[in-house]
Amino acid sequence: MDTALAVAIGLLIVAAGAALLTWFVRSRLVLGTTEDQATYRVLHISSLATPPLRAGLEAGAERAARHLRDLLGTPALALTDGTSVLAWDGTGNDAHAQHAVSHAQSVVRDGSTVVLGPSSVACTDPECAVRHAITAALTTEDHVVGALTAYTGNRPSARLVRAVEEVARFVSGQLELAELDRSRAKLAEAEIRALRAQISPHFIYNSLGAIASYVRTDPEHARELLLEFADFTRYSFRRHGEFTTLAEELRSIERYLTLEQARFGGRLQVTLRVSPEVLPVAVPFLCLQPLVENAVRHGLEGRQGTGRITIVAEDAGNEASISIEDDGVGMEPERVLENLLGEGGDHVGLGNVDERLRSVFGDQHGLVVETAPGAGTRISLRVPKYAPGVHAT
Amino acid sequence: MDAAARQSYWKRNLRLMASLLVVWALVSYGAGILFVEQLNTLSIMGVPLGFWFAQQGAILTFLILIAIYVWRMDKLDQEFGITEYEDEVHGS
Amino acid sequence: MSASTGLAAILLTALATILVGVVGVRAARTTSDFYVASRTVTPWWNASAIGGEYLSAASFLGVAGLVLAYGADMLWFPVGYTAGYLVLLVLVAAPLRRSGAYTLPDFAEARLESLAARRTASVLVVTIGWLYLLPQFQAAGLTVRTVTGAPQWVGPVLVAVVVLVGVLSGGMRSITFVQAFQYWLKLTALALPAIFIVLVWQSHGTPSITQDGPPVFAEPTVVDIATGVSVEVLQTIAVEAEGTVDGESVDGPVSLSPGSHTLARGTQITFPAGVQIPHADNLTPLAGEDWRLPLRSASDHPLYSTYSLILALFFGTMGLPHVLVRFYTNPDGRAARRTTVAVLGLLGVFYLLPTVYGALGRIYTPELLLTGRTDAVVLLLPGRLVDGMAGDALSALVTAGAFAAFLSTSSGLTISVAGVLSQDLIGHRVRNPVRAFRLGASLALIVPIALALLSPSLGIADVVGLAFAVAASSFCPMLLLGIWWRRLTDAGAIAGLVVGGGLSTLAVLGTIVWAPEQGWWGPLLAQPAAWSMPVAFLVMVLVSLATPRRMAPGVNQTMIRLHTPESVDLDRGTWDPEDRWRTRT
Repeated sequence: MDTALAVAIGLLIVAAGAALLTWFVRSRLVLGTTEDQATYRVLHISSLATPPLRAGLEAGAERAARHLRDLLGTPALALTDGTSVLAWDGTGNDAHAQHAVSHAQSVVRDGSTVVLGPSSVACTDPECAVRHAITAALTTEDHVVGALTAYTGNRPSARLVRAVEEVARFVSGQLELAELDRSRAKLAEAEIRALRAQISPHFIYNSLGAIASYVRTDPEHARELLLEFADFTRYSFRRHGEFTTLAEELRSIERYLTLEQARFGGRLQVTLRVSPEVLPVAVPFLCLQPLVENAVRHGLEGRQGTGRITIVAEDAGNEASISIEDDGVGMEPERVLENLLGEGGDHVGLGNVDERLRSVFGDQHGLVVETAPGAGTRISLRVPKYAPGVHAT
Repeated sequence: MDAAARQSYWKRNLRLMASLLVVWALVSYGAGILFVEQLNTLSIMGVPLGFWFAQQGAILTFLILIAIYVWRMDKLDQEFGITEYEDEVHGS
Repeated sequence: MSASTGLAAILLTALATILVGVVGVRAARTTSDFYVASRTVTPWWNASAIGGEYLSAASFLGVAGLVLAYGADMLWFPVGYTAGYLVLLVLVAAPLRRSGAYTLPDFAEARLESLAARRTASVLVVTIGWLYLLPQFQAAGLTVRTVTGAPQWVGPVLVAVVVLVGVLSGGMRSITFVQAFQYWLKLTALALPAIFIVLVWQSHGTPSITQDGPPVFAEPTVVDIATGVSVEVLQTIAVEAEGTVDGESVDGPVSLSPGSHTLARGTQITFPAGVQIPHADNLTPLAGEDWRLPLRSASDHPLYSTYSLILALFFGTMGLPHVLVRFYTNPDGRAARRTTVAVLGLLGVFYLLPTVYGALGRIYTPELLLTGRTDAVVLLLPGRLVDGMAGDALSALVTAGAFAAFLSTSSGLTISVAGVLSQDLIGHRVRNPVRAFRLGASLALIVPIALALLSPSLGIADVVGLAFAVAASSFCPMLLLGIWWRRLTDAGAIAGLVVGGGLSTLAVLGTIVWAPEQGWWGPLLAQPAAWSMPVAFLVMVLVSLATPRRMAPGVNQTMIRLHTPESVDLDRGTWDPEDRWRTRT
């Protein structure tokens, strides 16, 4: 036991030593001269300020202000949006913060940088480090959306004024990107709305036709089918929520398949293999529906015999792995690519689903389509079990 | 469910939780330790099993507490019209 | 029991585990009735799965071993293992489900909106996971050696290989059924032999479990020393020894004087009847009255130790990485509540049994006190009491149960740790998520195996208790405050996690490396939860109050989501055709 203990302690010490050495060597050799280090420092601080700013001026101002002040090295810094102070970082919060809006007034009006002296900035406290102010405008797409004000004790040098302008430009760039993010999200929302309205008229027509054929022969079955149809449309026309659970999505697909089976009779065979562990995973609303529709069409199109569709959802570490497979006629790979890029006319769904998956979960989570003429089609996707901001509602 | 109903649902939920946790704490931190001597006077087949019974009894108490929680929460949910997934599926 | 029977039992368990994993997935295959609802796991299955994953080596072997050595106080372990579920259910389970977080780091990120908090939680999950895996592997080594005589490393490697095959081959794609199967195997494996053991004990005329005075050998006993051990002899005893005692080669009668003696590996000692049993140095077993009454342990501050242990077990359950995930398989809050009742029932039934083994072990396998391997009592007792084929069969059953315990807990933990490792700690180095997960799984297993082989052998349930203490001092405050206190900030949470997790981990290391016996240091380090948990809470609250500006911007929305039942705000529109039709029929 004692030797084992000694070995364990020895290993711990060696590991700690190695870690220390690596850190020391890296900091010495890799980081280089002081000039280089200053550059790295500036780059690092700006990288820290980036994520909060990407959330938008209002949401991120408070978190970003600290890093921006670090960048400039001034005693205080304020971010304003023209009507209110969004963030004040540094000294003099009590005496000066409420005046920050008035300091930025002219800048917000005409967009040019202004330097203010003690007459309009300083307070009664002679020790106070807030005596001068440099205010630069924050703009997105040529609109002034706010102002960045840096406060100093001494008369600001031309260099500092320049630095403030550069930082304001950097912030403006990030805000513009934030704006872009927002409009992309809006676009995605609009696309879902479009998709919702896109339940194929053929499907409605054919379903109602199939149901009608049962009304006399098997009214109970017809009633069940009507309820399924009602449920299916209710889900598809649901007005709110970008996400839903995999369970909900699969239930809707079941309804859809029940209706299609009523239409095709024994010609459509469906196999569902779902691990219970992945049912609560949040997925984009209506992300499987178009894929299944696609599979039904391809599984039965242009053939007399039975078409087989297999839907699998499995647990795979941090992700749920979902695949939809048919044994139908398959597609030309080039046509699939066109569809995914949204150029083909008849499969708008695929491109839309792919786009949404990528925009929500990142580029590595797009659709994977395996197909060849005559070889059937298999579409698979991987959905992270948890992604920040993704909640089924 | 409107805001007022949610408030009252929430309040009753909290009250239930608080009372169960109080019982739980009393049983687990008090009974097993404070009543040790009394429990040890119980004996079966010459072996004082009182303490052992206290332990199993504690587990049983937790079981009952949870059962009460489940029963009350179900009732509460019903009262406020919260139907959950399971219900919906079986009902359709 | 012959080595081959034991080996067969072990291999059969491993095979069955993998088979159920594969077949369980297949069984979910149907063509006609394909309702998703029929795929949701019923509370009963889910509870079995939770029980299967939760009952680890500590419950199957460790508790009985502790009861054998220390008696009544150790009954707190089973109580603690079950009591934690009440807090978990009432305070944590439902809000956590609603948060959409699958793991504890997910929750940290969702609630605090901070990547740094996520990373800190990840490191802690891995720490706790490894600390919990360590005793599983040590127990596997002990079992394989006790049953087949193979070297210590065979057991851990065997378990690791089976787990790795299961995780990597996709046999765990539907892990719920595997774990449920394991629970029932474990219960059977412990209950069936227990019945026989009690019957044999009664046929012996129910000899008293608690003799007066220290434990003695009831009849002449031959003890083979499988690993070198240092024992404490209390009064001079004359024995026959063959091998190495105190570094000297002996063959014949030896007199052991009071004090410490080392017995080398391979030594065989024959004790005459009525001789007081020397006990291993690392044990301080209790005797007579002290054994069967609580709060009589040899440590200086039994009351503190007991309270601290209770605290760790009660509040540690919610911070174990593999426990919470199982609750996600429930389709809704109501099913989750039912599951918890069933879990507690199943655990309660199971925990009736280890005590029986521990108590009867005092009569029939007292030499375990000498070798210090009290954890082996469950494995040895059936073979010792029941002769012939039946005894072999029962031993094989117990061995299979023990292996089921290692396999189920290890797979659950490995998947949790691998998930966190691959996503947060190696994810940005290995881009392919499948490869990252495999790498994570390997890493999740290799580190604790290395630790298990290097570190001194500790009581299985003791180490698990320490894992609970770390969980109670880190994740418990984060979860409770995160769910119930909206002013918790990322800085506060991180500070609390680091301080609470760090202090308790240090205490754990201190116990393992230093093991002080005297004064307050011993109990304070061995049972840190009573002080490290309040400290963690305090740090979280104070730092959060000091950094009000760091409150997550979306905290209001998050809190509403955490505390509103799933279906409440589901806007279904005013058009509801079903309703009309349903009321008519």
